[in-house]
Amino acid sequence: MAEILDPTVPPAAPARRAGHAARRAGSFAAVVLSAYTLAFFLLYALPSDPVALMLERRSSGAGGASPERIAALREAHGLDDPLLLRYLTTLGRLLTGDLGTSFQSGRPVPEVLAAVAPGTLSLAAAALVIAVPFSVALALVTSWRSDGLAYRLLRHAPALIAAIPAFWLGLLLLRLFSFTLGWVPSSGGEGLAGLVLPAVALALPVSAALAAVLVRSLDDVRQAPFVELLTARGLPWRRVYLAHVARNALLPFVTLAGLTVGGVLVGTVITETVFARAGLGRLLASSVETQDAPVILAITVLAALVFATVNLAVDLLYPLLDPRLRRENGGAPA
Amino acid sequence: MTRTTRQVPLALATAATLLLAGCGGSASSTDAGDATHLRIAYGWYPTCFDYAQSNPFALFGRQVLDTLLSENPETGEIEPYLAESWETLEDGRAYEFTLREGVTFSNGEELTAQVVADNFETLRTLAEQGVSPTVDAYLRGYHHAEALDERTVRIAFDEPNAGFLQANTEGQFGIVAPESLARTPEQRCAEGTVGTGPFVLDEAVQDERVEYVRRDGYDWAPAAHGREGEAALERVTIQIVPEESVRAAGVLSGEYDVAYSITDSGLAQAEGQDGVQTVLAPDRSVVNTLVVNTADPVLADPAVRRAIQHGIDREEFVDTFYGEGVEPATDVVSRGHRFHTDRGEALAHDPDLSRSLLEEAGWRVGEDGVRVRDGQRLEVGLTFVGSDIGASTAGWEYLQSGLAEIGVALELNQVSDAEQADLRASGDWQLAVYQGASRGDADGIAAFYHTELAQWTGQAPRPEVDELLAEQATTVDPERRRQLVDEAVTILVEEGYGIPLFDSAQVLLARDSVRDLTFPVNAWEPILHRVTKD
Repeated sequence: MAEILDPTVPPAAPARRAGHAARRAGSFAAVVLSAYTLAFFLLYALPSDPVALMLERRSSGAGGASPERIAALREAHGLDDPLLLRYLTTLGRLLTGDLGTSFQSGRPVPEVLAAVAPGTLSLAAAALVIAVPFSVALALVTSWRSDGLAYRLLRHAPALIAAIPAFWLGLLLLRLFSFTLGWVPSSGGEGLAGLVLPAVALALPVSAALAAVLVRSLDDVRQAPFVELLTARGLPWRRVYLAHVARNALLPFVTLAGLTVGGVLVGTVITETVFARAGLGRLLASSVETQDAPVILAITVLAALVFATVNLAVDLLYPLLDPRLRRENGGAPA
Repeated sequence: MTRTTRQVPLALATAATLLLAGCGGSASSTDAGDATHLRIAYGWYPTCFDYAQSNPFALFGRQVLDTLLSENPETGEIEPYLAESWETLEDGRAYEFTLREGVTFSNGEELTAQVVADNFETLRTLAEQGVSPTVDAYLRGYHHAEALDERTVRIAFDEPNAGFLQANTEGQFGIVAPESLARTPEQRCAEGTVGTGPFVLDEAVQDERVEYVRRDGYDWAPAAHGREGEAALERVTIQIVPEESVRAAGVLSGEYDVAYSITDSGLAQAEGQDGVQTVLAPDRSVVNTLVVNTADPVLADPAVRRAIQHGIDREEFVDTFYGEGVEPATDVVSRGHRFHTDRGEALAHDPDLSRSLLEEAGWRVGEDGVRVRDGQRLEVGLTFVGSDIGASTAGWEYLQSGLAEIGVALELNQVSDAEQADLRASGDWQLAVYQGASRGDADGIAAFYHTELAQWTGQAPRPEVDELLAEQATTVDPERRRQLVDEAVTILVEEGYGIPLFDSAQVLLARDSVRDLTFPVNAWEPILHRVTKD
């Protein structure tokens, strides 16, 4: 910290910047690789046999699959190779873009993912579009004055919202807006009408966390000496609050907003199930149920990629928000 | 004001708002929709649209298919469908079918004897590739199929296959068009198959919905459908709704006409609401049963098995833990099964008999109430899958307490689907809960109880029953076959080789406007061809 604030330190050297970028890229790769490795060993180290499970589900107990046939199918899926070999060949295939085929449906994994991914992307985007402005607005209104009515009323709203189970919230929204009022369809992801409720259900818990962090951070900054100084110099509170307090309080919020992308993706598992929407979350849930390893691996790696990319973007955003970080190596922000 | 007290009014106000929203009166009935469009809410998107490769998604595969034969739901008689007539030759080593004239597939291709022969050859290939285990079981002893002329097809077997005619009423043997025969198994799964049935697959949106449209010019429905010509419905939408409460609420509000897989909680939602009915879809399969590992040292003792058979109060078990649509078992198969015989006596709850059986076999009550013989405690483990519909842990705990009264300690072992598949193959299990596949033929019983065919491996061979079950499979004469099956099942029940528990039907919620929603084949295959909407 002392170094960063030291005015004698020269502006960022290009070499350092390159080093920084390389380190970031390295940690990006490490995150994705670890996610893959962890998912792979968890999946394949499980004692169950995905081929037997597939046949079981297809026949729903009618039987008829002989051990020889199970063995032949296992071989066809490469399940008999040593674990480490499979780990490496699967990794090699993933790197060349070959995601394999689903155990359950026999369809290529990219095809399976492509069929449902747009639904999840639009849902996640809609949820973020709701969550970020809503949480910022809620936090700004809450922290306007530490002794105001809004502060007293709204300070605990985020905790309350966060305490509502996403599942219940979804059912409640459905009950009110679909079944009682009949404003929007209860299922199906077509058009904006079908997107509103699930996006709200997904956005609310996320907004709660974001708002809570921002309120806390606004409260902290508001007590900083420079705020008192600015106020004493006669700057209107509105200006002090929005231009100085809010801006300085934004850093932790941006960090959390980045992490939230991961949270939103996780949330789609429940939201998509309740609202009967097709999507990656539901696909993941059903694939876990059937131990459809290629699909689970692909979704895991995809999620890790998205998560790592967003965090990289957030990292690159810091210097824009905080001039202090432009000077040095851009180490982790406060 | 302290921190806590300040929070309270806010919390209360919010909670009240939310509750109001939750209890917001009865659902307003939206437009019941057009009378030619049936909307079904179903829980799962099919992983495979090809019926031959996937039993669990019968609802989807069946609507586009016709089979050679049909079964009269009342009499169990085999009746014409795509085949006008048929003959059993060489004591069940060959079957000849004469096809109905003028039948076409929805893509315009014609139904000929050669197409039917190619269908069986392809089914055989699917079975050999291991993608159609059920078809493999149905085609036991298959040799070849050939077209004798334009309308006659002959299927030959190496050994008699007595269940073959009945198998031709099952959707796995639905006749598909040459276009579909040319597809790979994966393509068939992904695209579905082209059939001659009353509906045509129009659109499938993964995890969302599947749409069928009426087949124009359909004119070959079997008598069992009770309707001639085209379907009354022009369009059927199967919406995939994983949440039961949403399915039920959707029917109550009129968004759907029918909802599948409704349990007590969904029925509670519907209670007292107008305009909806409960529809029971009975199954015809081997009932939910405690499978017994007779190779296990404790369960190898017939006295222990018989004691368990009579140590369970099936009536009370079902009344307490299950809702509508579940009945205590009275035989190894469901009531609607062609081979059902009422064996209520042999399955009666009689704890005194159980105790005396165990006493005679030398099992003495120990200090903690659990019986012991030669230092061995009378403990058995029960494996069950937690996700089984309606089968809550509490139900198994009830079973546990019932058996404790006769001195048997039941250990409950909850597993996942995957773990169960492994356990079953390993032979390392004692008792397990299992329901047989839906097949209205005695071969379904054999597939469950013949120790070489059984899914739960490791059971000690029981030559007497195994031989009877093998013999019935090759006995074409109906009376003789029935007799063999009865003999086999009598031994199975008396010896406690299996402990039948309960017979469960599918429970559906439907709007009153839906008429003639019936399930002649099995619970998962409503005949939508005959369904009408007011």
